[in-house]
Amino acid sequence: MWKTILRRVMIMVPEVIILSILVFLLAKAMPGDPFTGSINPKADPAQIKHLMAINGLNDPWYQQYWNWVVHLFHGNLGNSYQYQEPVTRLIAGRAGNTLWLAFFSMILTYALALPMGVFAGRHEGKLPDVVIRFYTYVTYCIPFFVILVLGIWIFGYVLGWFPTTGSVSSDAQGWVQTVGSHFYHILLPGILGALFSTVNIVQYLRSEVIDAKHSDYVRTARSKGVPSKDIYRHHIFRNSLLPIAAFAGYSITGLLNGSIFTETVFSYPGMGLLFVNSISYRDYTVITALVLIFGLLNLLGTLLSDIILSIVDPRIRIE
Amino acid sequence: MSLIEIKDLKVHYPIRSGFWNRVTDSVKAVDGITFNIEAGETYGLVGESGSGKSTTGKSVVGLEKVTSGSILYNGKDITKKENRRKLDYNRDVQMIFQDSLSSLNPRKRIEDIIAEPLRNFEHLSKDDEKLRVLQLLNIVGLDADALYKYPHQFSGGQRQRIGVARAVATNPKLIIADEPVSALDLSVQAQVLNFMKKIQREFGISYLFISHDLGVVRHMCNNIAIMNRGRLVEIGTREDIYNHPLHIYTKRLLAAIPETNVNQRAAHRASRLAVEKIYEDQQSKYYDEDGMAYPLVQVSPTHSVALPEAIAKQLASQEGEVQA
Amino acid sequence: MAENFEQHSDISAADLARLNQEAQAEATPSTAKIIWNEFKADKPAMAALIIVVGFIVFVMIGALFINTPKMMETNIMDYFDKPFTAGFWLGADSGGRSVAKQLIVGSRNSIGIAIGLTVISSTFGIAWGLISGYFSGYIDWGMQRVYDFMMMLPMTMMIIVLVTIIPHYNSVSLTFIFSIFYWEGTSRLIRSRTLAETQKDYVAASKTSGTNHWKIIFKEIMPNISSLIIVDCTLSFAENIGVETGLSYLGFGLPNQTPSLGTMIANANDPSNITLYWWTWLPAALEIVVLCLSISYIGQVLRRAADASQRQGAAD
Repeated sequence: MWKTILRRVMIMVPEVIILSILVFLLAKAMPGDPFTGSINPKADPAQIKHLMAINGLNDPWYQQYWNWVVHLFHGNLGNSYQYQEPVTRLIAGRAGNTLWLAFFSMILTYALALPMGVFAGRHEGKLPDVVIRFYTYVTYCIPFFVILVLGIWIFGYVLGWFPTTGSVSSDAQGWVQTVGSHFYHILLPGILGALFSTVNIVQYLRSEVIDAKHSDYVRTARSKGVPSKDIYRHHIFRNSLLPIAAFAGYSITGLLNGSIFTETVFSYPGMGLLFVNSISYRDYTVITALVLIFGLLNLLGTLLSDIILSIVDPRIRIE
Repeated sequence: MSLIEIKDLKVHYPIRSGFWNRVTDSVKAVDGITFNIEAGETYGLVGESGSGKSTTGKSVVGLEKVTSGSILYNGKDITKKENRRKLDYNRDVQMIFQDSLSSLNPRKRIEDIIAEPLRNFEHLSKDDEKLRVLQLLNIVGLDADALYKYPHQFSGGQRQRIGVARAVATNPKLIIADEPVSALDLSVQAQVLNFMKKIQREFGISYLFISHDLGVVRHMCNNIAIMNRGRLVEIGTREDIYNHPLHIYTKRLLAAIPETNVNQRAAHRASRLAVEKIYEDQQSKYYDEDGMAYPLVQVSPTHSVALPEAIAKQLASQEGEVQA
Repeated sequence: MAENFEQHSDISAADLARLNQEAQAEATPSTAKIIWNEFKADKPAMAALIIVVGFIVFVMIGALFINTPKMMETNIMDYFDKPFTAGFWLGADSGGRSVAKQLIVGSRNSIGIAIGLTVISSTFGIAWGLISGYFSGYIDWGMQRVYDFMMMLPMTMMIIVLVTIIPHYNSVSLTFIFSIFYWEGTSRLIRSRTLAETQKDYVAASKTSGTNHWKIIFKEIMPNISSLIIVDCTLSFAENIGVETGLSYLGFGLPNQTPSLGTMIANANDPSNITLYWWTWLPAALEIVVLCLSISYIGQVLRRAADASQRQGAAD
């Protein structure tokens, strides 16, 4: 068990190193430099050159990379050229928003998917099943950003039920109101994200339930007269619990990757929106840091899922 | 010189474990076996499932990566890939598989299936090729309209005959028949076996006949090797094995042949139980401390058994075999 | 050797021609035929197929008659014309440009890229999965590590970074950039099926018949997973429509002067557009919804056709 995790982590190390080099080089390859636009447009080229030099932007790439890595281990990701503040502080300010939204979505995902999956499987072929299957089919096919745009249009603008921008209302006072306002703001994007990520869990649980319904041990339980509610709760549901928990890792990475869209549509100040803005400003330091963070989060998400799965299915451990 | 000489063949599968996933142990599927196949004969390789007989067959045809040992064909060691390529080895050594359905590509028509080895080894013209395929179908007793059908349109016995036709296509010297009839109904088994025999007579082919069924082997083979846990426990002619079995494993296999004569059912059952009892009681005598078979010792020019020399001699004289 | 065969068989060259004809008639129904029967048996699927194919043909041909640069010219007179006004039956956007025409050209561009992306990424993913699954051992191990690495990359971010690096990209280079990141799903699926398929005896039989690895992979194994490939390609196609439009929506897909369904939906980013001038973006959004639903539905039907036990068509 621990060996599996340790080995997975060991395989991750070279992956992270390659990713960091790749990201660093890509960011360097982006055209333009952060100074030309940001200071006085009439700034004299000599001054820009000077700025480039003191920021180490004229060194060979491997030296720049090395400096970057050394700083990284000191917890220093450099300064944002756009915001003129340390990247770590900048991202720390946004990360909370993104992660809260993702966690909220995930909790909602499970809250929606578990009952739907069991319900659909239990009434296989009947109306509830048809409705739920139609729902998964629709949310599976339609691109996420289209769901978001349609969602904000209907529930945010036309019906006016939810705020359409920001993470907290500016006139919220006291912590109760602030927390409430925060929650109010993540409600709609959270629900839409959850709708989008229920598909896999619902489909898995549904087919598990259907398989289990026809399995011998459930038939035996039934013939012994165990009430069907108990059969579903104790026999079927408990068996599929861990594999379903394993979806958590994958769905959180999915939600994080979707955050670029969610945050753009809802003008929600998280890491995704920060990334989109930084691209327009060629803010290298922020871009590299964000790509690296998202890469790491992806890794941790899949690692989490793999660990849970390896508890369930020992065969995976040997591989 | 024999057609095929197998010397100390070993096929081990590594078991990886531990933190670095290093090889810590191995499954010894085939653990040092030696025997020869003569031209024109049918050599039987018998053992229960998991005894390594299929792995041996696959090694001989070149499908299995051999750990050590050699397989000589025309004096060349064909466990090496480049030797197989140089010799066009599979033109001369072919294989018939156990599962006739899985061994025929379901997406290909019979013509393309049978012609596959021809296209790779013989490079005939289109018409010659088709003619050859038709002749092959005819030889295994199938109608010419099979040409454009797909495997699932045939019965198990017919499919296996198609497998035989494919194996014979390049007129090979040796065919490895890996349990060719064990998936078939008894009534069909004889039919397929008879086709195989007929082909052997007409084309002078040797078979390495792999089976767990000593009844079928008796019908087919001149020489027989008994395999147990990756090693050979007894080698001999049909006469040696069936009439003078020495190793307890061979005796068990023989006792397991179903008795068709109903009147002798009770006697058969008694002898089977007797053999089983000896096996239970005398395991230590027939296997070494690790439960592996001993090296083979010769008890007659044709007959060898895997036992310590003294016991082998004693058993052989009990069986009344003439010592050389 | 040939004499050997002559001796033991009574079939001669003369029988060939007759048999050729005879046997042709008995061939099994082809995959295409089975699929077609399945569509004939399922009316909604037929409707979806007609919608998708008809629509694609319509925009491909329609776009030929539209002068894109002229269409994209700003025309202040028609600023936000309502739908069904003269000459603008779907209205006009903030630049007075016809939404209907943009929709046609935009659909052509977006669907074209989705098709290109599907073709390239599926081809690559299929080849990757087949090779990785067929050669076990070190080759598979190495290919799996590359796969793991690709899975770790935050795709949308990487695409955006690449798009900003490449100076003058167009729809072709854009398609290739997308393709780098969208082959993994296909490759995983194909690999797991190939692993199972490689264990079957017909692969061993082909090896002993002297067929080389590449031929075995692409001519023996691939036809046996063709139904899986067809289904996967269809579902990928539906998914891929979201890829370019999503990026264009964010402003990192097709350039501004090239209409795309994504850039049209991006009109919704303006809080006043989204409610007041809904016709600038809603048609594009609805079109994507309908297209994706229809294509996936076709995919479902294909999956059913591939699975003999679920067929509704009369064949078999």
